[in-house]
Amino acid sequence: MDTGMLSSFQVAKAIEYLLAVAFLASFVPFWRYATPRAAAPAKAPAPARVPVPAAAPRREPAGWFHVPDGLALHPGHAWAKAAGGGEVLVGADDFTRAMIGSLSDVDLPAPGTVVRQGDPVFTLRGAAGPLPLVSPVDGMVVASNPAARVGAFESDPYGEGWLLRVHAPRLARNARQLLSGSAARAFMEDAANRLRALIAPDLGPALADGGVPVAGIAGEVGPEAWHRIAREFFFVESDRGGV
Amino acid sequence: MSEAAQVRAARPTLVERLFLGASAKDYVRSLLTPGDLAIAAILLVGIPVIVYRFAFGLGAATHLSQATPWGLWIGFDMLCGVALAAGGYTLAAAVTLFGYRELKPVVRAAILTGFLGYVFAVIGLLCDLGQPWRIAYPLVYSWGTTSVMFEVGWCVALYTTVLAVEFLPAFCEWMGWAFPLKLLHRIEIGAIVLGIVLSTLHQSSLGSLFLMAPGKLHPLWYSPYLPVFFFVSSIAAGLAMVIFESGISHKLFHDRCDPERPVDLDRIVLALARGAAVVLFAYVFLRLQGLADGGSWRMLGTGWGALWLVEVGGLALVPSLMFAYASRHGRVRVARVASVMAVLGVVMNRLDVSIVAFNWKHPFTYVPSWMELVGSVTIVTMGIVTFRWIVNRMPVLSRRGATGIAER
Repeated sequence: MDTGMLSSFQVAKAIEYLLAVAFLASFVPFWRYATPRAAAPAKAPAPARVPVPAAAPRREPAGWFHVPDGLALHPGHAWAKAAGGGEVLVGADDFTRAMIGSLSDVDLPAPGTVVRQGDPVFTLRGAAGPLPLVSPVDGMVVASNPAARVGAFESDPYGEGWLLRVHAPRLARNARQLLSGSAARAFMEDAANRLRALIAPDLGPALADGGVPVAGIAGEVGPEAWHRIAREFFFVESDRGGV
Repeated sequence: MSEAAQVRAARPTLVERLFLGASAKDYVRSLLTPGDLAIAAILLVGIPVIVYRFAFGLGAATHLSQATPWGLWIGFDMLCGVALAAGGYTLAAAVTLFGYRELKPVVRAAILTGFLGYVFAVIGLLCDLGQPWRIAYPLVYSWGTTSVMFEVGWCVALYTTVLAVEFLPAFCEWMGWAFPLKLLHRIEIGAIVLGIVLSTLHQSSLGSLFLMAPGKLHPLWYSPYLPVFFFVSSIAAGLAMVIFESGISHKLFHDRCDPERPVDLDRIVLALARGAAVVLFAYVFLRLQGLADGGSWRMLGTGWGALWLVEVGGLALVPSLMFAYASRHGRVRVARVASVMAVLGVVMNRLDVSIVAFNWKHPFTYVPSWMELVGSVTIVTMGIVTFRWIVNRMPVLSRRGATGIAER
């Protein structure tokens, strides 16, 4: 054997070792890559627990309805916020709170229920009547928040007033249909403008001077305007007979 | 009447269960669909072909010879059937031993697929055996303890029995037999552990069979690691098959699912995709190791190399990356496409090893006869029909049985 040259056996063994090292070096990064993004530890400010609204929620100076950073808003006015472990908290936004006003009850799906983005998922019942809201994500309901029924939703719709905890394996894909940050604020402002145009005759002087809308607008507008609001803003049909 | 007697009286009779609550006439009428007629046509041609093979022998029905004693019935029905039936032990291990409880809703379907896969693989084997009546010889009469075939025979026989035991609870629930159900639940864990041990043994042993033919199998496929290749790829095949089969089952048999216990199938598919991604990733590296060990790199530039690259690169590495992407981004459809590719990859591997790259230097090329092809198609069709028959009746996709609904 020529000792100055590598034999084919040695070359084969060297390649085998290199392959083994390459496998060991790439396996963990590959495993991490294959981990669902939603379940990965969140780098963004995605609190594991529902944030306690110690500071007053930021209210956009020019807008009627506020939407904080760090959550994703569905155009049907439900929001989703990463809660760790592939789960999200789901709730209804400030716009909805203004529409419904004081909640008399909430129909929430039982844990284990499969929900689909864009399908009605829960129904808020105010003095004005029921308002179904569509789900912002696909997934399975893990838990619901009983505190939402007893005032938490009215006082803090984006925090302690969350309604559902949903395991959302397709959050990354669902997020394409959701708005956040400045896009969410612009959407909310646009919603306020559209609402203003729609119901100004009904609300009259309460809006004309640039003030904020009364909580429970649903109870202040006629049935026809309310049906339009439900259809155009929440993408649902309200079965309220006449509020 | 006591409560128990009332419950018994309310239970559907055996005839009602068999005909899904319809009369025999209505049931037969419900089968007059284009799909059922196509199945009937396949069976009408195929069953006489299989009978012909048993009546007149292998020489009359097949292109098998002394040089190529194993053909399509071993390469496809046995090797592919057993590999694709690996979902049973893979899922049982994942749920029962490793605690992935979220996969539980698809375990019964996986076990049924596994059980039928083995039963029809054995039927394929019977077709292939020159003296099929001697199939029990290695088990009871002639113990060839130094033969790989002895181990394969015993393991397949035992594991088919274990799969039957694992599936029996569904049958007992369907029949309303409480006592045997209780006994079966007691031995469930033992059966699952035994099933995993037996599968590990014979999935690898099917690869070991080809260790005896280093000169006959093309160097790109021959490797002393063949048993490891067969075992690892069977795990990937099992996971991919469950992804593929569960999608079709839940679509076709959606009314057999329990509306009170909705299953988030997408979540299950993505979890399986993650598993399949890493198993296939490891498998690709193992195949490269085999290549390095055999020093066959230069052969990658030949036509055989192209075939190898399609099998390992196109139908193992690519699906692995697709599974990882699907798992990361929640893309269920990508996972389903990858599962089809992975299944095809494992089928191609088994056919390459047993038929295409086997006897590669031989002047005569084995091409299966039309009767072998028809026989294989018939066996697969019988498997599908049996699966459908069982899912339509027994609690496989849900915990409730189904009656009063036509065959899906």
